[in-house]
Amino acid sequence: MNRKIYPFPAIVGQDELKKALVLNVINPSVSGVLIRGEKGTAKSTAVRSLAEILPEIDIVPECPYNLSPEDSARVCQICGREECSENKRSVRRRVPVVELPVGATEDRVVGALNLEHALKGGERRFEPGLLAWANRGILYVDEVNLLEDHIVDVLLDSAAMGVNTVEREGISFSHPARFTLVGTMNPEEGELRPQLLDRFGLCVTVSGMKDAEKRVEVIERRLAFEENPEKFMESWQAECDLLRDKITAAKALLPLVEADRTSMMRIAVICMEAEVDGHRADIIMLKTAKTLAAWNGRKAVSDEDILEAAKFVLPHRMRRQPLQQVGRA
Amino acid sequence: MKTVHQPVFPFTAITGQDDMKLALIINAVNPRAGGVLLRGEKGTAKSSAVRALGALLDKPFVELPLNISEDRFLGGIDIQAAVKHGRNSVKKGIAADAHRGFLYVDEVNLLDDHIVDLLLHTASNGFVQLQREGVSAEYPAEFVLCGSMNPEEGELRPQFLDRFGLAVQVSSSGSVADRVMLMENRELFDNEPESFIKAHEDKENSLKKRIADAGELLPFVSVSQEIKTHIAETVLAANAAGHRADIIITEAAKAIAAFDKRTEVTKEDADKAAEFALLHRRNEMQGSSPEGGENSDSGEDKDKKEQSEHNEQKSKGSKNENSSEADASPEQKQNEGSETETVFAAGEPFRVRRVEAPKDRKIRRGSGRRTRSRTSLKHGRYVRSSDNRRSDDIAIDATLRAAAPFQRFRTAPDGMAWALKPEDIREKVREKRTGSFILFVVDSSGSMGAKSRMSAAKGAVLSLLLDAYQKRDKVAMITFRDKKAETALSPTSSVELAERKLSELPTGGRTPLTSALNEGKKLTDRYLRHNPDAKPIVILLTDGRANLSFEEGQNPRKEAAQAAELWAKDQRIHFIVIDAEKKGLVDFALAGALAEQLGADFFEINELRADTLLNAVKRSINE
Repeated sequence: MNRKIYPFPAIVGQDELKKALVLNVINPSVSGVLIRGEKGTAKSTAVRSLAEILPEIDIVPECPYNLSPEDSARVCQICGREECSENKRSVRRRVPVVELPVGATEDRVVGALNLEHALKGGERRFEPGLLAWANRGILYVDEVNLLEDHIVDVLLDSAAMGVNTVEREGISFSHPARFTLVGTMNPEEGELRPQLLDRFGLCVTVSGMKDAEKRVEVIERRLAFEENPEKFMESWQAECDLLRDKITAAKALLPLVEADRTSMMRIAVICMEAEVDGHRADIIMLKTAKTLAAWNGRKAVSDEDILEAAKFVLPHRMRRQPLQQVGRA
Repeated sequence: MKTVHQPVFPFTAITGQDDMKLALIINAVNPRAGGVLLRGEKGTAKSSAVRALGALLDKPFVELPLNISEDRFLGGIDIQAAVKHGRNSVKKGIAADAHRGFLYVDEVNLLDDHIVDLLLHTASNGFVQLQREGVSAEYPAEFVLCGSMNPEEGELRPQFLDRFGLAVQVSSSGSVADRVMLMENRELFDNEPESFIKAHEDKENSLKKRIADAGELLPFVSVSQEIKTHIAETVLAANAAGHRADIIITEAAKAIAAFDKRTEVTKEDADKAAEFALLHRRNEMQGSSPEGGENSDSGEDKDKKEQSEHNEQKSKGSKNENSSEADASPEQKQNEGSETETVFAAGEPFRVRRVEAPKDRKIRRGSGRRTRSRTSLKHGRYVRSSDNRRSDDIAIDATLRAAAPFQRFRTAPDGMAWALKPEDIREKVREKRTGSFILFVVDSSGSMGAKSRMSAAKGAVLSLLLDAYQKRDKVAMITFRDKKAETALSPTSSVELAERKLSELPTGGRTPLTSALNEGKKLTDRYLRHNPDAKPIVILLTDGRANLSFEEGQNPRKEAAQAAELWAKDQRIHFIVIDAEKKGLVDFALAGALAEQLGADFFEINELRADTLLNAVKRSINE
């Protein structure tokens, strides 16, 4: 499949959105991002563009669960393909971006009984679904607030555990399903369930740009892209490479980044003042601040990192008064 | 069963949360304590704690996923054995896997009703009795039931709630030092799980030994007569129903004593146990009792409501430490500030009771949580199978199970392992919840009390939407005044949108009732075209004094009566008329007549406030 993808750096403005996505690429444990905003604000474009700048990972060839060779040695009796565990071949692949369409049925999301094996061989075998493909990758849900409730339940389960457990249709099976959840929503169409809201590590609100000059730029770039995608993509190649290199460097630096006690206390105090539920905000804010430090090429978390992290982590977690908008901090 | 082994955060590394940990340990020591329900806000290590305990014990620990199907819970015929070896044997379900261990349900309040029924049945029997698909079997399934839930997403049925021996209200820590420690541990674990687990190995092992020792000591723990009386008195004071609480407190108190290496239950043990056993059984007005089921509150709002209810007590009384009520104080302060009345301010939003239209067997479509119903599209959760053919939504697994016992006697076609016959075919029965559609039609004409009516109606709309947040309802509002009726709010489930749209609505002028009825009919017609199975609820708030006709020269009241009767023809709509007439010397009873024309439930409300309005509505719907 050779889809034409709009280059990520070519998106005009929307800096917060772009940064939130990049932070997730550098450190998937930041746990995803929820993008709130009106229609036509490059929400989906940004997520799809992301695919191009994602780093590569080692994957066992043709493994439906995107397992790494080490993983497959540890967990894999899953599909009974001996070649996986025996010869540890691996291929380099881009981090997968899997899109979960709003109308998806549960069996396609979690997986189901493999019909062919059941009917021909009388065997009970598992047919992997979207959650399997999204393992170690990004699971993208456009209009996540329109998702059916029972699909949300399944997402919550897997997102929390990093494992997809299937106990249905005669199948008893579980497999790793660690993914970065990226969702977009237009708040006018209804809110998210609180539990799902909390699963998104970060939250950004996007809106149309007010600056006429920038709006013109949006139109011009879009037209240039539509007219000749190849040429447009080529002209942005250098920027893309630059970004990818910066991400790779940040990823390498991340394990060395440290936050001192004062920084952590600051985080705790901010979260308590915001009256967030539970402790997930603290944990995610620390991770985000560290990732920001790495992105900026530093080994120590600074106050600015913490304040910037708070802007991403808190808006959807503040205890709202009943009628207060999400994100209206 | 193939399982993925994920590194589990060690139990002993969980910061704080002593009550939660103790309640879990009690159940590990003494399964007769009857399981535990962890209630609390998100992100408070509820599920981490349960899983950590599971990893610590040498007992089966089984998780029940929310989307489990019946056959995997109870068990069913093993299709592989049937077709490959012609043997009719049973593949046990996870209820049996959990025998003598723990069965854990995360987000237990989201579990489908039909699985809850099976779960309750199995838990009270202690065994599974399987009679299906040509196999019959019986096997033991005694387990300690553990659940965790965030009350924001809805409450448990009272009967289900009672199944949990103990309950703990979990909230986050308010100490900076704790929070920092928690962050540190989490980072260490996330970065290098193996070495973190290794570092806690000694602690884990000693806890494990202490639990095992306590289990051995348990049969020797005694409860004096005095303590027994004390327990009985405690339960009586709490006004808890039945005798289950007494027994559970005794068993839990014994476990606490044994864990403390004692053979005598003290008053303190009993009090601690009672705290856990009575949290969800208390039958008092006061307190954060989660039972009742009629309040499907989101935590914060519930706090708020309780706060306003118990404001006086609280202002004199001591600070309530162990419930989440205490957390809500700052919120309330802000709220008071924001409530300075503008003329058309919405009435104060409040929690609503659960409106639930009776579950019916009609096939309908939609997405929402309020009304659960069978669905004809291939959407919704596959809950069970049926041999009643209605669609082509084949349940392969059930079909194969149905065919399995006969494979010995049939010959499969070439290349196939199965010989299937038409009578084997099973279809999926799917269930999903459909949200309700509630339309407010509000008289904002110049008759008396228009402003308070508007304010009450707005308050009701917003409160319903807050509730709808969990239930996927849609709410709309039509206002009518002066020349004509207007759709003030198109059907929406967005609180934000409603708040914005309803912020400024003018009042005054004449009463174009017919226009309102016509407009309302248009709206329900349009909605029903898209959602033919929906059951809209129309709430008409007026004094019924129509004084402006739709067509010139008509008698406004006669005309309105005709419009009402026309609208009432659609049997799917449930009408409620609320008389907004200020009681004075003369009672015109016009609204009553309108209610009759619409076949509506009729209410008179003396003091119209958003909550009285809503409660009237709810009562009417529930009946």
